[in-house]
Amino acid sequence: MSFGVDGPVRAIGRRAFIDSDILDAEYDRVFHPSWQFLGFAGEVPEPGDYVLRMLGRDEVVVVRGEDGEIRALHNSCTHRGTRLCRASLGNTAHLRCSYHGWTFTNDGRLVGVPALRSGYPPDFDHTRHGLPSARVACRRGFLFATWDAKAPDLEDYLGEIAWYLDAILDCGAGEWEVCGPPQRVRAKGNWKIPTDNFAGDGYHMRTTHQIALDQGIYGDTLANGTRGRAGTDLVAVNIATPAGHSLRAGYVVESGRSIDERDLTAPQFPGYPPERWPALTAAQTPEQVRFTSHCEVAHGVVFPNTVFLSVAHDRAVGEDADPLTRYLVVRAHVPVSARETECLYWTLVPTAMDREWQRRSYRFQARTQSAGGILFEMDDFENFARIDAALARSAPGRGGPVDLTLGVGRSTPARNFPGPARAEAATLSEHNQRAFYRRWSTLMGELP
Amino acid sequence: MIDRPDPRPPAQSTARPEELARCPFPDRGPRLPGLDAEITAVLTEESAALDEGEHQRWLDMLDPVFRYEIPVPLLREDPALPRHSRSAVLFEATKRVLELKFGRVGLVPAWSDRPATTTRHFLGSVRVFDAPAPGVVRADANLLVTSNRGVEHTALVSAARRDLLREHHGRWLLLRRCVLLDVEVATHEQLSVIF
Ligand code: FES
Ligand SMILES: [Fe+2]
Repeated sequence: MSFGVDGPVRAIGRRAFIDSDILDAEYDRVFHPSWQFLGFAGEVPEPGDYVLRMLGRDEVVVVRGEDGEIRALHNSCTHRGTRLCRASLGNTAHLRCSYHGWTFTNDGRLVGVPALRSGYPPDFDHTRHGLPSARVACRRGFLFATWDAKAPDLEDYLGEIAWYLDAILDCGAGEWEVCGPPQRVRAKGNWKIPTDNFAGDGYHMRTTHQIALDQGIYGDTLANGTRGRAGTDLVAVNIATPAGHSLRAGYVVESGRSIDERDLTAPQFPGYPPERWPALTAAQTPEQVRFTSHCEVAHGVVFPNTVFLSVAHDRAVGEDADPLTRYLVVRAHVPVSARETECLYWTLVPTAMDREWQRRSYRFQARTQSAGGILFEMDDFENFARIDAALARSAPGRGGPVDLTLGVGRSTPARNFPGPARAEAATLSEHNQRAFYRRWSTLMGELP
Repeated sequence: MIDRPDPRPPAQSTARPEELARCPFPDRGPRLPGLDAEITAVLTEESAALDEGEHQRWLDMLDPVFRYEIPVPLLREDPALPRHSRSAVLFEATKRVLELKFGRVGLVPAWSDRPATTTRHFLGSVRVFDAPAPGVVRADANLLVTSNRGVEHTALVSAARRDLLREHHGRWLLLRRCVLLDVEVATHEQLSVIF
């Protein structure tokens, strides 16, 4: 079957969000040829440090070897298949199997086989029983991996989106540090549902998060133009690449003005302390500043299942004396099944900011958009669960495909936008979601 | 960085109660069995207020500097290491954040609170210890919570709870609550509970 996809994707069949044979095909056709995000190098700073993560269908031990290199080793003994690491994080020089004691170094080589000389045939070749190891690439501390030997290099895979990720990071004027182990939660709904939400869904803000907006968690600034500092609007730009990556950036501009008319002689970085703005400007190229200045919120997808959000939250979630404070969170949406997704959240803070600012940034993320964020995140989970519940109560084909036409023919190219890829100015648009599903459909092709 | 502990020193015995709401959670002081019954009664009223939707009554039992946190559970190789992160939290709140949460009840677009969720807190094994500030005690308890909202949402959560309570004008107020979940990766239904 096809998914009702025409040239520019306008609709996706509903069964893509619920059927397990679709997930099976996705593992082979979407996840396998892609680079997937595993976490951060900062999670495994010392030789022997490891964390367990999923890479497609496979559990991998993401481990720093004695040589300092980070690898992703299949977490399964090559003898009978026993799971080697049982803990989610730890430190070990060797992975020793609990069944018969085969022992692997933390770079994946088989170095210990009980009764090797007395019991195994003379031609037993231990070098052929090492742990399968995925390709791993580390970019600015972000760890990606793929099992596909034919996949392009990570830099080519990321393509144009890398410029935007770099700008968001460079706006922090230096290195970033990951705040502790990730928050994790299992949520109802297919992995594509929250991912599509992060690609560019400004449309749900006024409904899903109406309460949060009314309660002022964005304070006097704004998230969608419905509230606002008197005399300002939020205007968004959508950027999507042929590889399915996307970014939506929302800018605070004077009412009725366009993004072009921002005052770039005095760049503003809402959520960072105003006294730091000149230093943040100096840390970026002029083109990056044209992207980051006046930006209140930026979110998007690194295809297939990694999303990011940089947003400024006001003091409604903090103390009266707290200033507008930004946080940057990176998330992975890992399928547990076709109908359940594990979300992992890593909050990053710039090392250039002081400890108090870093703490506040992390707290604001924890209070709103974390795994347990009862003021914001739970309303999103509610929708993802409602989608899942309704699809589970539907006959195949009932209700038609999922509509993706918001903004078709209604956006204009953003003039003078500094980064690569086509940027469309449209505060409400499914431009980015169409790019996500177009890439997904291309990889999925026709199903039997 | 993986689970770097809070670099601030633990509170000294002369600490002001407000400091106990912020610094690393204080260790147990000497056991105060004479207070077990009194504190159990306070905590029973408190969880009943949550289960019965008496939100204002519940908020009135919180100290103004109340802090609530759910550390990230960690499944570690070494049983000697703590089973919850010393720095990362699944959720963190002040009294104001909880006021915002309960302010949602009755408001039509509070999607995740309409229909309401039925919760029941089962509290047990309450033990009271001294805490390093005058007029403050630490109460450790086992907690089982059920959460129900239609056929798709039926959750059971077990946790250890660490509370600090402060005596104020003859009544006990909650100064701090730390919830140590037993499950490594909770569901969103489980995390929607106020423990
Ligand atoms: S299964 Fe691992 S040593 Fe036998
Ligand atoms: Fe949302």
